[in-house]
Amino acid sequence: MSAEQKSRKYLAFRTGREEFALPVANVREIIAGQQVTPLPATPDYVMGLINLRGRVMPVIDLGLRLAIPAVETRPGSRRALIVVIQAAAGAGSLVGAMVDEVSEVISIHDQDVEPVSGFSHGLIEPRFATAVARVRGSILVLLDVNRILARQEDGNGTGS
Amino acid sequence: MAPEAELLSALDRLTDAIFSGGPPLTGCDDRLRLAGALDLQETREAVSQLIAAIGAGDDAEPHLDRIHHLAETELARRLAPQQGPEIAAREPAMAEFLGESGDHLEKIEAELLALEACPSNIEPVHAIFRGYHTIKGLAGIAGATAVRDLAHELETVVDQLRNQKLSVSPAVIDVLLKQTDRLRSRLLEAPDAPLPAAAFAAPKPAPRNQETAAVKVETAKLDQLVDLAGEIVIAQAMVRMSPCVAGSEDTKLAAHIARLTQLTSQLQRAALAMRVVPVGGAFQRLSRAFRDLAREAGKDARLETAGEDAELDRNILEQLADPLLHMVRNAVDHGLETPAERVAAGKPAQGVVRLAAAHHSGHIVIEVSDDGRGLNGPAILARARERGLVAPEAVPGPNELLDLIFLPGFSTAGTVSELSGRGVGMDVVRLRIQQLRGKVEVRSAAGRGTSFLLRLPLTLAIIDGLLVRAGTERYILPMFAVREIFAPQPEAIRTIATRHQVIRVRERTFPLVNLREKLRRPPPPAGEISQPVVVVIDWNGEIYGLLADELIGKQEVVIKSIGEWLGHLPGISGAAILADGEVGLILDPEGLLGGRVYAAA
Repeated sequence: MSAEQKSRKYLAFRTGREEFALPVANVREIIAGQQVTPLPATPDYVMGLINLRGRVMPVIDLGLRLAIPAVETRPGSRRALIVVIQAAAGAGSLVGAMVDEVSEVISIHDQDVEPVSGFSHGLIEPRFATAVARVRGSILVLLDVNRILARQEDGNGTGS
Repeated sequence: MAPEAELLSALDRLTDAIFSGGPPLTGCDDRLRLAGALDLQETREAVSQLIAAIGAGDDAEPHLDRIHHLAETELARRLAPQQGPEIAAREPAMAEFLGESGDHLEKIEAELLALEACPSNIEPVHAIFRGYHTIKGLAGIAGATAVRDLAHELETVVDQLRNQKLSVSPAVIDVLLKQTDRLRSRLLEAPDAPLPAAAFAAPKPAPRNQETAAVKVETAKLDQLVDLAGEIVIAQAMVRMSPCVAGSEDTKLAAHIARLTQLTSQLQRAALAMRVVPVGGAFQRLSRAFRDLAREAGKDARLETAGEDAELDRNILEQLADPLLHMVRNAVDHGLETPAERVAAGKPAQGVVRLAAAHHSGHIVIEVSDDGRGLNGPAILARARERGLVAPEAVPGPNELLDLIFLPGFSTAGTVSELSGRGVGMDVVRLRIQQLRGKVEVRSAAGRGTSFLLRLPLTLAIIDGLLVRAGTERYILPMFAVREIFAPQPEAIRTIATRHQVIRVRERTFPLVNLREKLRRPPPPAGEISQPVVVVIDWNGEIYGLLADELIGKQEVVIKSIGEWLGHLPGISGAAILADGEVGLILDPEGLLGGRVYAAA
């Protein structure tokens, strides 16, 4: 995060009723939802595995991960998209995040970004957010990919 | 019936036949597995005939022989090292004789070593017998009578081992190894064999006296090639199984598809073969480290190695370097006594650490052993109790006792020595081996030494799998762990102690694991027909039944990692992309039996 950069690009999307954004640098691609093979002995939010062009990739339910209530919209329209994210931009394993709708790629100026401290979103745990941004008069929560993909606090989910 | 289902049902029946039919059929199931893997029309027909013969109560043996023959011919063709123009130009029978005998001798030696390492295992005996038998046959064709007669004598000896008229002892192994050497030198003298010894002394891709052109390739590129070959195999399977191709009446198309299947499989094997290296290099590096370790520890010791030519995937071998070094270090540091202690115990002052590798039924077995003091059972138990690893009142059996050393945080050394106090315990060794889909076992005898046996797959890339359904999901079981498959009679399953189920298989009772319940999957939707099967799993002698909702088929799958992000999941050893493009989980036979785990977080 260099200081001289005036604006950064984010992917805005919706899960449940909420709008969130992820740095485009952490987004590899967006694919249509497909059959997910469930996994045993994993936390609830781990949906399972999908075939990403011959590669096996885990998929999480971003709504469950952020512990926000799911909403049923039009039948069949939910969980239609998987945002393929990567903890470190350009490196690290790929994980798919199932979201309800992808809105747009937006540029957010640094001066429109406020630290998450002092702000209470009231819906998600503050640890998952890096900052909040004012975009066209509304507030958008910028998500922290590393925190979302961190598995240490899961407890015994992967214990052997 | 679909070809896959047909093969499976044949496998099923054949296994039954083997168990009820007695010795003549023993060891044939492996061949049928191979035949299934070959996916060839001719083999399938032979299998159908076998089924018919068994069904009609006829003698099954000629059909089995035919399946053997087909499987062997095809396998030999696919697996034979690239022969140089010299050999290929010679008279066919002789060339075949020469080309194959060397391979069989190598295999016999490896199996003899495996047998010595584990005399109770009967599998190597069959393999050795087949080896001599094949050489005898080849020698007969080529007119090399001296070789044929010696091979016949050896075959007779092994037959006695097979019938348990003779028991396995170091002396017997010695004799067989020596005579195998003699067989090799007789091969050299064979009157019709004017080729240099190098042509069959070792299964090298090219004769030694010939300059081999080689290019250096980055390992990443090699891995990419293997991955791509895997993808082609899958893509090809998708085409082959798509309804419009599978249901087509076009015989030409069927022939083209069959050819494509064959070629893709060959391509994959060729790609994999490029990544295969002999273990010798790793052994050599260990011998160098060994000398320093022994000197530092003040031990008089020598390192013996065997089976350096045994090959496995370079990626696996790389992962093994640390665990092997750790075990050699343990052997020197804790296993071997000081020279004075050894002499006092009536042993030679010089201790021996042994590294041996051998191929064994589609796996490689690497043994790290020493002739030292052996593991101290009471001390292990005391330490485990002290660390709270076992309940104070628990009394583990002999095997469980030794297994305690693999628990995280365990160390048998009374004092942390410079050599072994490096924070890498046997728990890390076991974890690494498990990640490679292998297994490590320890054996020990007080005053006689300790032996670690690592059993590993030859490659991480493909596995012969059995596809089963549990609930709505499909899972893959590694074929090498499958002992038999049958549709259970309700009365064969019993529930004991209100929770645990057992199954009776021919007068023996084994634990039964309900796969769907174990994996916490919901039952299939009501109305869906379930045809439950029991797959009997034999995982290094641990036998149990696995109850699945349906048997889908047999499939060779390309193993994919589930990714670092998920880490190790109990009961799951990997994933594969199935013919319809969906992901299937590859089950870990060992993890499934364990009563632990499976609590969803």
